[in-house]
Amino acid sequence: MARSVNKVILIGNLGRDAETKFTPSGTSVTRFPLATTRRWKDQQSGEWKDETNWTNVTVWRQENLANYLTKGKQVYVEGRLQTRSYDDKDGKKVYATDVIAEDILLLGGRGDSAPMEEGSGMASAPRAQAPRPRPSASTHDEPPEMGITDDDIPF
Amino acid sequence: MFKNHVDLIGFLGSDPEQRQLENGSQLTSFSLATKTSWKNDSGSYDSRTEWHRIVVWGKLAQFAASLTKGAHIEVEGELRHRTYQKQIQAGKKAVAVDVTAAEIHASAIRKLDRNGSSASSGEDLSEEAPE
Repeated sequence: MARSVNKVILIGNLGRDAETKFTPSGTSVTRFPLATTRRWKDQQSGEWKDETNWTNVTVWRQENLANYLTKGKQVYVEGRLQTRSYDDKDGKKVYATDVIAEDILLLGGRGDSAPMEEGSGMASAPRAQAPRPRPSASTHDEPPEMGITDDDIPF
Repeated sequence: MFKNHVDLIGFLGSDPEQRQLENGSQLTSFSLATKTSWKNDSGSYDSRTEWHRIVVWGKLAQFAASLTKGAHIEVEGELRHRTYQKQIQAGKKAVAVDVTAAEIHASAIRKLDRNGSSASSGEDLSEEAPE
């Protein structure tokens, strides 16, 4: 066969609440930005530095899980890399690389990066007021596949 | 706690490009193709080829530079997004726009046997990044 592997594993925190949309056939697609922070010691100054990397995660058919994918939540994501292109408003080709998740685990934590402080994962996750994701038609000027724009990424 | 790990097996789309940075360190980059196949609703197979930009630093960059187009390799690394300014032509004048590119920063590269039968020769050719 193809003799290919395309596998990504991320553990990080959601930069904002996940956004769920539905295709015309009713399949849900949920997207959220995930922060992973890399830490290294600077060779010259000896100081520790960190850099946050933002990855857009897309997951299909997980509209129920989406209720728990809230800002600050720590999650484990396993999936594959996918790059798509679209034309922006100037007709220029733009490439966006997402992780298409095949597996997402809730690890706990909310609003801060300290994991496991609210008890473990699912047990603490249900929130009565968790809003149902609403089907939202993309009415504004963005490509149909695009849920997360660069404006959503805080850098 | 964070984790950012990418594991790819695929084929080089072209010979690697080498660059020497101002601080003397070497940078090698290349494109890697991975192909995913799946059964569609009508029962036949669809496939999609994904292209990944691989960036290799330091000692491992020298090894990466010895690879050639079509090589079957495994790359382990980390996914990073980099934003840089690019000059584009807008009408008559050039404007700078921010472009975000996804890159895999390789920490290990293994050459796989072309006929896919031998794992040991792949091991002999493997090279790990210095810690």
